[in-house]
Amino acid sequence: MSQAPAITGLGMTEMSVTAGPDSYALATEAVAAALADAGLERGDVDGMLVGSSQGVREDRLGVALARRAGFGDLRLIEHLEIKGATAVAMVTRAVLAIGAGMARTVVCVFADAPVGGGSAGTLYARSGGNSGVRGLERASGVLGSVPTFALLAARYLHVSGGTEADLGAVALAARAWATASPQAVNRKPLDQDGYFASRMISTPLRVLDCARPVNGAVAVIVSSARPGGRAAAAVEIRGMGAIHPMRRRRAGGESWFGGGGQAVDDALAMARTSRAGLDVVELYDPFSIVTLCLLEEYGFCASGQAGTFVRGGGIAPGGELPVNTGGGQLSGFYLQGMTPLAEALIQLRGDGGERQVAGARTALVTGIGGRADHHEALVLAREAA
Amino acid sequence: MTASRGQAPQVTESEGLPGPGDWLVAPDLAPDAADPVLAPVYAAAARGALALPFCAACSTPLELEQYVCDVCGASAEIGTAGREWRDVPLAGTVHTATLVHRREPGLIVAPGPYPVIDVELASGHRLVLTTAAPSGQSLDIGAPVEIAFRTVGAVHLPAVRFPPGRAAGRMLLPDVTEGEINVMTVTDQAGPPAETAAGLRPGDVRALVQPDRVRGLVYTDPQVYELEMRRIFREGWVFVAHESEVPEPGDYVTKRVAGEPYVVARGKDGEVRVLANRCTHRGNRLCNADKGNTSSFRCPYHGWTFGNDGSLSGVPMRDGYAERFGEVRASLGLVPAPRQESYGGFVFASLEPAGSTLAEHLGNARHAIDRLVALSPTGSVQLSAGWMKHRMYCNWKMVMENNVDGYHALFTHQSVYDAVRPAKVSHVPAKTETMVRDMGDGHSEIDYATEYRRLDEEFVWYGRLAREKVPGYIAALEEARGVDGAHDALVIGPPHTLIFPNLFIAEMNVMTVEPLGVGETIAYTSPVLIPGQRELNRRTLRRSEGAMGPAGFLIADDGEIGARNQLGLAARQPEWVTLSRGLETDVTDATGRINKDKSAETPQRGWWKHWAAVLEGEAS
Repeated sequence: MSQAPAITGLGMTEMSVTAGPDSYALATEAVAAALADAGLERGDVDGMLVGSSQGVREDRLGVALARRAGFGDLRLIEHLEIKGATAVAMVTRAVLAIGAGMARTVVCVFADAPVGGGSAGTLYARSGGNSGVRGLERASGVLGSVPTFALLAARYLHVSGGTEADLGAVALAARAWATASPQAVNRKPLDQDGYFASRMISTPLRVLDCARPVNGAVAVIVSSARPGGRAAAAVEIRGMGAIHPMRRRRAGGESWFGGGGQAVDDALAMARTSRAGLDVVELYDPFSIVTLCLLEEYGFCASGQAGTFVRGGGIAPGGELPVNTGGGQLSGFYLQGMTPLAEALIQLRGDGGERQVAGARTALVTGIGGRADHHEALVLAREAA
Repeated sequence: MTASRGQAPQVTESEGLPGPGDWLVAPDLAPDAADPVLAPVYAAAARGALALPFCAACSTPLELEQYVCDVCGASAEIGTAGREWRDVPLAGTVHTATLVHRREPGLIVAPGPYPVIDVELASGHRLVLTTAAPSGQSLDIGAPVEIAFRTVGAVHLPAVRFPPGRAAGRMLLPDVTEGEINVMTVTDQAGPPAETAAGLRPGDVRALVQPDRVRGLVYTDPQVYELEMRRIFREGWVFVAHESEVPEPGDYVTKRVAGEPYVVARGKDGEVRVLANRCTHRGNRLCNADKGNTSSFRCPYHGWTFGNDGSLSGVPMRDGYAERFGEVRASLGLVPAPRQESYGGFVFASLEPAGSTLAEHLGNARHAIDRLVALSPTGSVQLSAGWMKHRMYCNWKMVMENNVDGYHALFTHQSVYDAVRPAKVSHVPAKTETMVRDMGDGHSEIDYATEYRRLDEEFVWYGRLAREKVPGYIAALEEARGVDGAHDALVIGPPHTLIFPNLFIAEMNVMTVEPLGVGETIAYTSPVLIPGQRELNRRTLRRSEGAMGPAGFLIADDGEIGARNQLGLAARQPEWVTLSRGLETDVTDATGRINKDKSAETPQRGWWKHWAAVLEGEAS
C-alpha cells in the first residue's frame, strides 16, 4: 500500500569511542540493520543518499557505498553536503525524490569514524588547512571547532546576560536523559559540582559542554510503501523546512547566531501544527551553547530566556519541553544530524525504554551546519496503527 | 588646517635570520602567505599595516572571503579593481573572546591557556585573532584593543595588542620551582584590578635578581613584562620626545607611552604639551600622522576639533547638547599626561599623577645631558632628523643594557674593528683608562673621559676629526664657551649614558626603545644635531647612518645578537644569566659605583638592582 512518504526503517551500529571498523563498514552494517528493521531486502531499495563528515578525513563515506554495501542497480544515488545539516536534509531529499517519482524506497545513511589511534581532539585540531580565513584563524590558535563555539558562547552569554550555570544546566539535562539511554556514550550521573569541576577547554566551554566524537553509523529507510515485515510503526514526515541565513561578519551586529527560526516555522506550517503540538524536540547540540541558542532561535523561549528555562528543568526529564531525550550529542553520541533523527524515531515508535516520553506522537528534528549557517527541520509523527 | 593622514611607520627589520619562534603556535601553522585570498593581509602585516578588503563601488567593508558586495551587488573578485584593499586604522573593540585551555601538542607552544579574540575593527571588519604578545588572559567584550603583529614561520599576521594598562594576565611560569615564586593573582588595593593582574607577589621580583646574576625569565616572562609596563612605563618617568622635534608653534609628533597613544604638540603659546591622543567624545584616535603642523586636531569620526593646546574648540551641531554645551566644552579638553617635565630639551612624562620629580628621577644622569648640550654653542641640541626604527626580536631590557656593555664590542662588532683599523681608541679594555659606572637609580654609562683627557686630543670620539674641517662650529663653540671651555668639551666629547628606563645617549646619537611585547622591541635612533652647524651636522648624519642605519656597523649587529639572545633564553637551563664580571673590583666614589675595567658588568648590576626595586614598588 502506497501513501505519503514515511520513515519505515531505522538501523544503528554501536556507537564506539574506540578505534574500529571504517566508515564504509559501519555504514554497511547500519544499512543492513535498517533493511532488517523495515523487513526489506537490498533489491527493494532503488535510492541511496549518503552523508559524511566534511573535511576531517580523506576516506569519508561516499557514493561508492552502494557497491560496497552490495546493492544492485539504483535509480537515485547522491552524496549530500550541507555540512552538519546533511543528515536531516537527506530525509527531505528522499521525500522530494519519491514525490517526483524518481525513486520509491530510499536508504539514507550517515557514517563517521573520526576516532582512530590518537584523540579525536587531535584529529580535529590538525584539520583545516592553512589557507583562507581558516588559515589565519588556525595560525591564531583556533584549532578544531571548540574555540569557535566558545566565541559564540561568550558572545551569547554577554548578549543574554547569562552565566556558565546556563551552559551547565544544558549539560546536566542531556546527561539526565542519557543515563536512561543504552545508546548513550556518557551515562554516568552528573551533578552541578561535577560539571563545574570538569576540565575547561575554551572559556566558557568545559569538556562537558562538548559532544564526544564516536565511530558509528545510522541509516533510515524512506518509502511511500509500508513494508509488511517491518518491526515498528512507520513515522510520517509531516513537515519540512530549511533556511540558510546569510549573516555577515561585520562590526556592529550579531553574526554568530540568529536567523534559523524560519526552518522550524515552515516545517510546523507544512505539518499544520504548532510548537504546542510537539511532544519531543530533538536538536543538533554539538555544544551546550547551541541548545540555548536554538531554543530561542526556534521560538521555544523568548530572547535571552533559554538559560532560565533550562535551569528550571524545562528540557530535562519531566520538564515541559523534552529536548534531546537520548542525551543528544553531548551525552548520547555525536553522529551529526543522525543523532536527533534517530532519537525522534525511537521516541515516536515508543522504543525509548526508561527514557520514553509518555504519549510522544509528534517530534521536531533539526540539523545545523557550519557555524549555524544551515538549518534543516522536520516534523515527524507516529502513524496511527 | 587639520592633521593629515600619516604614513604607516616604516620599521626596518634584520633580514636573513628568522625571528624567534611565535609565542603561541608552531611554524607548521604558518598560513600560506601566497594564498590569493589573504596574501594582501600578510603582505601588509609585514610592513606593520592592516589591509582589508572593501567594495570599490560602495566602500562596504567586505569579509575576507566575500567576493560579491552584499550591499550594492558589485563584483569584488580577487585580483579585480572591484576588490579594494585599504590600510585601516589599527583599532577596534572586542566582539567576543575566549581563553583556550586545550593546547594541541606539537601545534601550540604557549605554556598555558591563550586568548582568541573576535575583534570588531574600526573599519567595520571582523577578525578572529590572538594577541601579539604572550598572554594568559582573555579580554572583556567591548574592551578597546589595538592591532599589532606577530610572525609565524616567515609569515607576518595581525594580532591584538591589549589596551594600555591592561594586564595580559597570569601565565604559569613553567620553569618556576614551587615555593620559589608563588604565582598567584595579586590583590592590590591601590589600583583597579585591570592594572594589577600581573600575578606576582611582593618579593617575587626581588628573588629574580641577585647581586651577580639574574634569572633568565626576566627577559621572557609575560607577567614580569606586564609588571614592567605598569611600574616602569606607566608609573615612572619615561622619555617621550625632544622639544626640538616640535620647534614651531603648531608642530606635533605622535608617540606611544606605555602603549597609549600620545601627541606631543607645541601650542600657539609656545608650550610643549604631552596630550592623550584620543578624542574625548567617543575615544577615536585623534591624530594619525607621525608628525606635522596644525593649529587644531579634528577628529575624523564626528568632527570634534581641539586646539593644539588641547582645548576643545569645536563641536559640530552643538545644539544637540542644549544648555549643557558650555559644560561639555569646558570639561572635554584633551587629557594631558599626568606628569610632564623637561631637562635639556628632553621631555619626560609619567602616566601616574603622584611620584618623584624628574630631577629626582634623573639623579646623577642629568650630568650626561649637561655633557651633551655642552657641545652646542647654543646650549641645546636638535633631534630633528627623524627617527630610524629597528624592530628587535628581543626583550627591551636587552637592547638597553647592551648599550652599556663594554665587553661585547670586540666580538659582536668585530667587523667594525676589522674595517676601521687602527682603532681610534683601543677596545681591549686593559689598554685604556675607560671605565664603566653605575650612576645609581638604574642609570649607567661607559665613560671615556679619563682616557680622552689622558690623550688630551679633540674629537677622538668623532673619528679624530680635524678641527679645520668644521671651522664655523669651532668658532661658535669658542665664542660660547671660551677657548679652554671649548677645548675641554671637544676632548671629553658627548656621553655614552643609559638613562633608566628608555633613553640612551650614544655619543652623537640618541636611542629610545618601545617594548612591543616580552620578546619584541622597537629601537628608535636619531642623530644629535647642533643648531646652525651645517658642516658638522652633515658629517654627523653620515656617521649616524654608518653606525645606526639598517646596513650600519653597530645596530644591525646588536639586533642580531639580541634576537639570538632571546632564542637562547628559550632554553630554561641554566636558570640564571651571570653578571659577576668585575664584581670584586667595583669601587664607590662620588659619581657612583665604578670599575676601571671597561668590560666589567657594573652597569648591568646597577640596572638590575634598580629594576627590581622599581618592580617591587620601592623605587621609581
